[in-house]
Amino acid sequence: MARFANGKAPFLRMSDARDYGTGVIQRDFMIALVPLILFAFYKNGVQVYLDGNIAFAEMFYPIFFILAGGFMSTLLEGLYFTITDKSVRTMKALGMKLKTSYAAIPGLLLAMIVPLYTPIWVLIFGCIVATLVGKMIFGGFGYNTWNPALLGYVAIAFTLYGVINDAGGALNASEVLVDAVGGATPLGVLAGADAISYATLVAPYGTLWNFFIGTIPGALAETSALACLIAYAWLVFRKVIKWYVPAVFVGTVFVLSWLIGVIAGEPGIWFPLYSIFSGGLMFGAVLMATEPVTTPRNPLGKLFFALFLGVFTVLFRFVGNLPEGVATAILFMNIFTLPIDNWTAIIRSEGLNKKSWGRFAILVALILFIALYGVLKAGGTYSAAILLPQIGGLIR
Amino acid sequence: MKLLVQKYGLLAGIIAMFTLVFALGGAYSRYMTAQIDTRAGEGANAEWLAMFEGATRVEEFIIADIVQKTYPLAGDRGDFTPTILAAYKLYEGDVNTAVGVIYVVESYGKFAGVQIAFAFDRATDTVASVRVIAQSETPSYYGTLGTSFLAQFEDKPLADIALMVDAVAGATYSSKSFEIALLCAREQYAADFGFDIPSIVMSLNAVTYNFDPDTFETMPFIADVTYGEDDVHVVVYLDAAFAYAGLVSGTEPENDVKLAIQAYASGAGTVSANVLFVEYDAESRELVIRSRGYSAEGITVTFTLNATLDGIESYEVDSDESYHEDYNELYNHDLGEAPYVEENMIDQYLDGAITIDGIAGASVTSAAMQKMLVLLDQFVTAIGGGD
Repeated sequence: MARFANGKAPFLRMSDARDYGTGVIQRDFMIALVPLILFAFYKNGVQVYLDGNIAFAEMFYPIFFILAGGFMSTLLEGLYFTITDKSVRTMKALGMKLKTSYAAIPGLLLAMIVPLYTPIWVLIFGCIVATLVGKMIFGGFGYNTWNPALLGYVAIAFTLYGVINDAGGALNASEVLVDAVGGATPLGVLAGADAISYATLVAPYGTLWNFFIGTIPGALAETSALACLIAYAWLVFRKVIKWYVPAVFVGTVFVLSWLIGVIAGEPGIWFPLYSIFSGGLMFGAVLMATEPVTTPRNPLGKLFFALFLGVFTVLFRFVGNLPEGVATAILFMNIFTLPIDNWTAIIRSEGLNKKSWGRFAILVALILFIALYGVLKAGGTYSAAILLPQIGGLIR
Repeated sequence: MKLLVQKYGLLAGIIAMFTLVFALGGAYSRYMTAQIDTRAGEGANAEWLAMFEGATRVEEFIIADIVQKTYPLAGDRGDFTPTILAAYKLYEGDVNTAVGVIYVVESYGKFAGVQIAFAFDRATDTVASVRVIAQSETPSYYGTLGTSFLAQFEDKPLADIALMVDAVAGATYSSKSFEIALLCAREQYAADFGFDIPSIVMSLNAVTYNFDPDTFETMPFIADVTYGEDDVHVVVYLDAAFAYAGLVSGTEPENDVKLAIQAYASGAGTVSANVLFVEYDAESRELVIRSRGYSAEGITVTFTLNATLDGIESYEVDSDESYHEDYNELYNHDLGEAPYVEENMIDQYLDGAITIDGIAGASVTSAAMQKMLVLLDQFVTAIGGGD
């Protein structure tokens, strides 16, 4: 029997079905991670072993690393409960608590988005930030403001990236021997490039097919667009995520990247494809931007949220100093989840009338302004033709 | 005890597991890092070995006495002191005498950050191979330095006094970075392995422009040199690359002396290959001078001398220069399109200005024009006694 919520948006989805609930959603989410984990194991373990560049025992390191992330995250949450909650100081009670808290997910995701050669203690540091700071301090599962895994990732990226590079960085034992790669990931190359060129950005790594499959240097389990699409199809099929959130997020980055390429004199479709297949965009769009707790609940809110993610990713990636941009964009937009949810709920419930029009216009104007600035600024960076308007010297 | 276990057992268990993962995971992680370091090292070694045919072993060695010398950069951009970044000895089989040596040198081309590795053959004291390790030069120009350019280094004898490199047109600065790096590597090689760099006692008395319209097109410079134990005096013509091009007075020198003159003259800095006479037509009194500014094509100006050959009657500028637009607002002037700066500076000269002022926002163009006007002034003085 269907239920209808009696009140103003946002409405919570309810179901009478016994096999539908948070537990099922989390189970489906874990299943969606399987192709990504398997690909990470293949690319950084099996293939490198077959290349003869690592020993048999080293082949399993990617799997160990990802599982260690999930395990550490679970242990940390268990430790937190044991210390702070007297009622969970038995194995049975703690087990029940952890089962409904989905403790492993932040650590699992974190381990998947950091480089392969991240030292274990750095991963543990990230897990501490992700689980304790990002999740438990806010009240645990369902109460966190920021995506816990991304908070852990950003903490590592801003403080310990040098340590990761010293320990080996992102390139596996086969990639490190490839001369053309020169020790950099595709987005690392883009960050240092002063022009958009296929020869510089794509050719050292093969073709765009390599980008799609994921056989390019990058974080442990986020390089494969194909694996992300499989996860996407599964999650959409299981109705765990809305199909349009990743589509709009990735689509926005695609269109804006294409415009940047056009301004920089490189109108080929390869550049926007390179842009969406590089870094953690597909991973972030499918598995992070759709996270139910830290993103808007109503469809219009999700749509605006995805659009904002797209324009901010372009801004941070092409204009900012960091080569990535997806993690920063998602974390930044997590702050505005509630206002976006509220505003879009009003717009949805009242339509575009006198009262809601202003809110709608502000949201659209913000997106257009950030997108325009990002495209013109980035396009100007990669070409001699600076098209950036100068308004009273504010925008340079 | 039982109570203690009941109360703190779970906590202790979690902490124990945490410690276990930390310790075992850390060990696994460190093992992986050690492996990747080894792999990276093996990869790098393979690249060094590939630079020297027959070498099977490579060892980095610490240079005890680093030689530091300064060399002039191409294009009158001052001096640069290259740095030896690393040095490797190459061995064949189990023999512990190095058959080759590699020096990785940081040089300067159009921009900083050019890193070039030279492999020297210990038996023949020649360059075995060259490899670019890193560079951030302009891709369109740097791309012209192909295999034919690099081929000139193979078997190049280090006993060659000047070690000049044949530059590729359009990539002169980048080409020069190889020459500077090679000279630096040879100095270090000489210090490390007792190689004697050949030298000639030479005094460069003067290097000037050739103002003879009949010959200045192909032989733009004249060098006045005294060399050898007997102070042999010779005056020679040089081409635009400062190579020997003909005799003005004295006896034609030996080949090694010619190379030494080239090396000395190119580093003298009193004349520049960036500003040269192109042609002079005595009938129409038209003098064409080209000076290299911001654009690779250079600024070409045709000056028409007056009837008494002591002044300028008119001029025509051909220029593709581009000025720095950001400066326009800053300095409250609008440079507009070329040849605004060129004409402005020529007009200053024609108005009798003693010092020709450059223009902010077009500093490279201004410097090129200042050099051109100095050369013009010298030519007019030489041909017609103008002031």
